[in-house]
Amino acid sequence: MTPLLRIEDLRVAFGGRQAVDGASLEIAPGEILALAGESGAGKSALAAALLGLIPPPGRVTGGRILFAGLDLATLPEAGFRPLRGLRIATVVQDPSAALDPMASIGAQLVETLRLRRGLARGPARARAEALLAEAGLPEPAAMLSRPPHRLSGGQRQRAVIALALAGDPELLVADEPTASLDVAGRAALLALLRRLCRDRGMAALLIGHDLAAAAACADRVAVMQAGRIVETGPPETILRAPSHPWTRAMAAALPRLDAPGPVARAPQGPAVLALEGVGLSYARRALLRPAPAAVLQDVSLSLRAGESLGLVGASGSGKSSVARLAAGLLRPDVGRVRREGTVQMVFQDALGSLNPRMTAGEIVAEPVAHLRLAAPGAPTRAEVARLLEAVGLPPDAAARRPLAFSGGQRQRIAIARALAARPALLIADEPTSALDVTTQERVLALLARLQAERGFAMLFVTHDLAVARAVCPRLAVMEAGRVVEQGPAAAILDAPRSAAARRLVAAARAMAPA
Amino acid sequence: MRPVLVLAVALGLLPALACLFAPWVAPQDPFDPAALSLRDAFLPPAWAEGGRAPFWLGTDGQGRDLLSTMLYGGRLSILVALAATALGLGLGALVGVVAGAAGGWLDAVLMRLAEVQLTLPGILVAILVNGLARALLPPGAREALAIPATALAIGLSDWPQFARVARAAAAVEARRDFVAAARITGLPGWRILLRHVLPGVARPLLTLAAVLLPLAAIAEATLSFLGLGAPPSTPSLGTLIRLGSEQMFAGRWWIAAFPSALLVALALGANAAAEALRARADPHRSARP
Repeated sequence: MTPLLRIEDLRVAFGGRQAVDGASLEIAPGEILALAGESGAGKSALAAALLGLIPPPGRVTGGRILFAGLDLATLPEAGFRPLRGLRIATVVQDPSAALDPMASIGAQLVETLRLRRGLARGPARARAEALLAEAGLPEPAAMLSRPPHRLSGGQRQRAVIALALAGDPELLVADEPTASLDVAGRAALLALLRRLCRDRGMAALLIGHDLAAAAACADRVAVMQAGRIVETGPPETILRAPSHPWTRAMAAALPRLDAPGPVARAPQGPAVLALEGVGLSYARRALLRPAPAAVLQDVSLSLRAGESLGLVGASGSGKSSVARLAAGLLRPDVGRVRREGTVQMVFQDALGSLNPRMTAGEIVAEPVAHLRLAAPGAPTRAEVARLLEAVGLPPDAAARRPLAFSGGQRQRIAIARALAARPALLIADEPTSALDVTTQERVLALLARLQAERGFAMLFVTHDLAVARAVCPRLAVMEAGRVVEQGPAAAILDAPRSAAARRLVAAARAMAPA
Repeated sequence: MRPVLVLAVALGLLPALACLFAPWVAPQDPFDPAALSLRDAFLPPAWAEGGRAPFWLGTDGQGRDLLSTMLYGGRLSILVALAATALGLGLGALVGVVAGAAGGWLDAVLMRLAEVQLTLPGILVAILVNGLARALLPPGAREALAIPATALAIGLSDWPQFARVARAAAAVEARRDFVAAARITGLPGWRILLRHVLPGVARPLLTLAAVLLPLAAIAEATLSFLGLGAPPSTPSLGTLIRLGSEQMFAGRWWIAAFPSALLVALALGANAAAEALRARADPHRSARP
């Protein structure tokens, strides 16, 4: 069969940096090709070249992109107009950025259908409703009149998919389409994409750093590294018998549900954190306003010195609120939160948790100076150097600002800042979910080593059961603001008792490397 | 930068520099009675009939060289505008950052206060404060403190705009994770505000200051034009335009026309500079690599 898309020796350069350096691949009609690789491997630059949307100063410096008898690598902007949104559609990482916040979902779909497909208002409306239903949105008729902010994250991404389908594309380019969703949402969205491709005979280029997710829904996986495609093959081969050393490392780095977790040490010492019957609601009760929605209800947890507890649940289940309560950033409306000793926190968005105007050295020095923790006689600077070394950063890191570091290095700076306060309890709120798998593995290993050396307790918040399993001997499962199940990680994974835990385990198994 | 911006900045920057260095570049010292002669009064510009060197732009009713008087007057207007804008910025930043970071009732009270003042035209507030300040000053000090009082009045009419921008930016900054991290560590509130919140607020505030600076200069000219700002003995651009407007119908157009043109050039230049600053501060300006 002739391929729908054929990329030959493509090169894209940004100034002096070669983002895509001789990449070649093919996609057959109706085929789902997953393009996996670490951040910075050139995946997004390749997708941008395909859409003629490389941001300046980047440009195609060589190779060919053959689609429908055209070479997209040399196609002028005007040539893309009959293609983009019609024959090639795109789904971006952040659905909020792809939707007009001021217009209803229906208005955006109808406008697209009228402008791009030339439909009259009535038929466009009917077609819009059909597209929303096809994208798996409940009550499509009601959805038409809703603005984007009244949809959940998963629903928003489905609305974006409906918009992409409006042109009946032959090729869908999806760049990290599940990045903003939790694990259950990811599994559902990937299943939807797979079904759409089957039903419509549509091909898809699915870009992501998550090798396991790629493998779970693609026909073929292409692995990209440093601007080149280093390996292509069926998912089972890529995961089970990868031939390229880099793919092997990446496959090995995937956290596995069936891996032996850390051994639970006998709980000892005093509790460093205890939540007793904690309840929390946002938005104060006011005149003419409905009673506030409860965010947390009757949450009780406790952690002893040196212990690790994994707090898992779908997004919106209240995990982050528990983390913020434990850190003292929020006060409970009812119940009590007791803390013994210093608490520190590491956040999901490492960059956002570091003041961009301060150097790494200044960031780490702040708690050292404030808490007067430098050894007597030793200057703060020496303590900062020790901390940066302990998290595996080079000695010259102290003088650089957060933007000059990679994602994993930024999280290391945040960890060094947390260690600077010598915490009895470290709260880690999804510390690795923004990182690719190999970086995630290294950061998790770092946390485990530091915990063994320094003996702090850890409250580890994550939506990813496999990650929780790798870090914590004990888990607490949350749903709708309550802790519905607590116990040893192995027991919950093998025999989940609550419906929420069963759902999480099922979703994790669907996404896991088989 | 676009060429039209370069032109506008040059148009405003050159006169602004000439004004600021007036004591060194002005051909005549308009405050030195010995240098003045009533025989030189009401001379038209040098190129017009009856005009003569060295009074290139003509003279006013006291025989002062108009170019020199304008430069000194422009200097006063610029200094008053700078002082007033600095005052408005300082006050507005303080109120806005406290309101944005604290939230709750303090935020509500401070911001409603700012909004109440915003419902009044700025120039009206300036006139009110100016009148109040003069009434409270001892009679002997009124003349001497007229100019600081003008700056105070304009500054106090400006602060709500700064406060609103500062509050919006501070509310965003205060919810950033690095502020949460600082709170968990237990850093004192003033240090968090100063080190972690204020720097993120500075850029939009400075951009707004560049926008409001020419407006403050115009407000100064308006107050002086109404006879409420600078006293006639120390001419600002506004006083010159007022005195000149009285001579318009006598055919002595130059006394009002040239100071007006200078005011327009200064305001245009400052606006262009503000636009250039705003474009630089815009995070969407450059595409990411």
